[in-house]
Amino acid sequence: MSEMLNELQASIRQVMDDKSNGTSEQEIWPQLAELGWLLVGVDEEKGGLEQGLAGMCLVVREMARRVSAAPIIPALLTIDAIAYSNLVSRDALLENLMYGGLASCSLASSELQISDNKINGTLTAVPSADNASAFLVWDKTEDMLALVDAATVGIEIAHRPTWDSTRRLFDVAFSNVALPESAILSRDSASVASVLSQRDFLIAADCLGAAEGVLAMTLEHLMVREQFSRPLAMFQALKHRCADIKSQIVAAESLLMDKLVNAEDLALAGATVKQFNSEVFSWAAEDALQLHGGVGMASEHDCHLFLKRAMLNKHLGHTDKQTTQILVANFI
Amino acid sequence: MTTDNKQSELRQQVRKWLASNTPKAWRETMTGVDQQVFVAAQQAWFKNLVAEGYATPHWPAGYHGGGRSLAEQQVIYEEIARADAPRLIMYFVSLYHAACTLIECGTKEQQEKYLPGILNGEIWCQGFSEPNAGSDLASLKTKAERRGDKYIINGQKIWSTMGQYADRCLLLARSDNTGVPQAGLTYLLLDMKAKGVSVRPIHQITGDDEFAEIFFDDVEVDIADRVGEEGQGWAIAQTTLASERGLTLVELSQRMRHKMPLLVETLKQQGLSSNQALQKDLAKVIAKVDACCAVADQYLLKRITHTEGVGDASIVKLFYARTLRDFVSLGRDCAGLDGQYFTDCVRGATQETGLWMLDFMNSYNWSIAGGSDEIQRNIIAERMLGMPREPKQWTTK
Repeated sequence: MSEMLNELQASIRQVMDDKSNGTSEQEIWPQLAELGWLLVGVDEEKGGLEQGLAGMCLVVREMARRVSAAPIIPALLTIDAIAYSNLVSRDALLENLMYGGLASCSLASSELQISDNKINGTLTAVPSADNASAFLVWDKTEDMLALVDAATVGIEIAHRPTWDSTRRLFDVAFSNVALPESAILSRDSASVASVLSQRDFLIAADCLGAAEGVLAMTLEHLMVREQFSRPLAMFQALKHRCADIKSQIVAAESLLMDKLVNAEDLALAGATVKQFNSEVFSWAAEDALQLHGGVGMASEHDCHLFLKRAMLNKHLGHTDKQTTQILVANFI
Repeated sequence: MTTDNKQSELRQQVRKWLASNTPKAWRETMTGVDQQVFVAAQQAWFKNLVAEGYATPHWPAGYHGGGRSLAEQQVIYEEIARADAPRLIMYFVSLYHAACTLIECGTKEQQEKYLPGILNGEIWCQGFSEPNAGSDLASLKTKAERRGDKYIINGQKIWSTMGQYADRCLLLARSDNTGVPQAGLTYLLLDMKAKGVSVRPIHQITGDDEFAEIFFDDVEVDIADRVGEEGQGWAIAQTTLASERGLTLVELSQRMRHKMPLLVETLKQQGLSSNQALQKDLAKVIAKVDACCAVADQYLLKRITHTEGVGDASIVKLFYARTLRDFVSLGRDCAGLDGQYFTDCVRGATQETGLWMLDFMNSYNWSIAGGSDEIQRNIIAERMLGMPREPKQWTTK
């Protein structure tokens, strides 16, 4: 990791260590904007830190250690898409977004139809849509990318509560929404593919950070809680499971680092790291609940926040089923 | 020349050399044969690699083939894996354990006496494990009793790779029973042809016989063949065990990655390419093997940049062993009944033959030998995660 990323990591940890798990969007968003975390991927000449996708992954990972509720993934994706576009309004938009405005996007597959400069259909899994001033959208055939003002006539948003309380997901319905030429970022499937692979990387980073968080929490529990006159952490049956989780986490980290540097095919790399890291996170979170015992079933304990996020993460970005198809198709 | 250029030049050299020197169809010629045939093949391959300098890149500068950086050694191993060349199973202890221990801890006389022999193909075996001292190595009981300028050795060792062909043995024996178990161990270089040494090969479940038991009955070892001082054996054994520095697992992970197409072959043979349940398992294995290579590479990068932490090596070994098991188990499942018909043993096979039952059985080598998965988990839990050790006291009621 670069010197700058190391420093950034340390400073994010310092902030996040003081936060509770699932810290609300209202609490963390102004602070992270002020600290410049949203600028991590953007070029220096545009006022960013120029740390690319690796930097974006780092921010997401560190925030996920505390299962932060901030919509950092869609925010970073949207900022990146705008920063490298030719939109006339680009600089003004960036100025607003990098300092705390929000443009969001879907974390699921797009079902939108775009024709005759009209958008129809419904986007699902759009985080914090009620706070967003714009949406990054692409059509179902994944060959057009646009940025739509949230106030455009014909857009309706609906909150869809999920078991994962650390995210606020919305459906965003488009009925005959006008798409002016000036809002189109690209008519190129490669641009959409790039957003989708970045999205897989960021969700994989989220899985990694949250898995690290849930392991740390589990270890704390095992060190403190005693049975049969000794700490639970002394029982080999439990130690070995923690060691397995740890080794899986190191593997998830290694894979992410490796793919950030060595990937030849970004789409395939994104699918691979998403598939592996979401598997690691869900396994870690599932076993963490069992290792916590009864208290893990109590809502006052934070263990469930991780479990629910892990279950949701499997279905965000390219889903388990989709990554399986991508990996196998490339292989056979 | 930049480091990167130098390495890619080395890569081309090694690749070219391997293309014309890797024994052709070696798995086929090692199938169902007497072990002598395998030994002869290992000797020939060893000589060839030594002559080119590729057997000893890890030796220090000034030694034959030596002075290669860790990154260069990685290149050589990656290329050997890519070429699917045989592993030098019979010489691993000689080239790594014996040579590195002699170079780091041996006297000048010991180095002069033994290193040329190693290059000439002398086979060394390891005499560490015992029937009751495997995971708990420090509890070993083989006795080294000092008499004048000799040690008299009595006891038994087990799991010595190719011990039945070994010329010499790296022996860890107990010279003192007082104090903590680690303190009473002494490290000796033992001549396997000496009077009182007997060897019994262990017949494995695969049909191979890669390991042996060694029995010592009043075997004499000259005091000049002691490495370090009396009682320093434990520390020196750590040097021995650390000598391969992560390269083996880089090589093995790469071998697995290069052999992934075997899974596709088996799926196609069995008409299962579009079986959705198997595709799901396949995708998991594809990603896991990728992760396994990344773990080994990232670990080596830590070694190169001197940022290795306690327990890192245990994670690499544990993760490889688990990934390998998933890989070969999937192959075994895909092969169905066809995979259950008996096949002759492939000597020195490695665990990527596509004869999935053989590969499956051989995969246990990596979850048991060299510190079992359970020992690695203890190390990770206790030294990385800071979880407390179990109490040492144990009483029966």
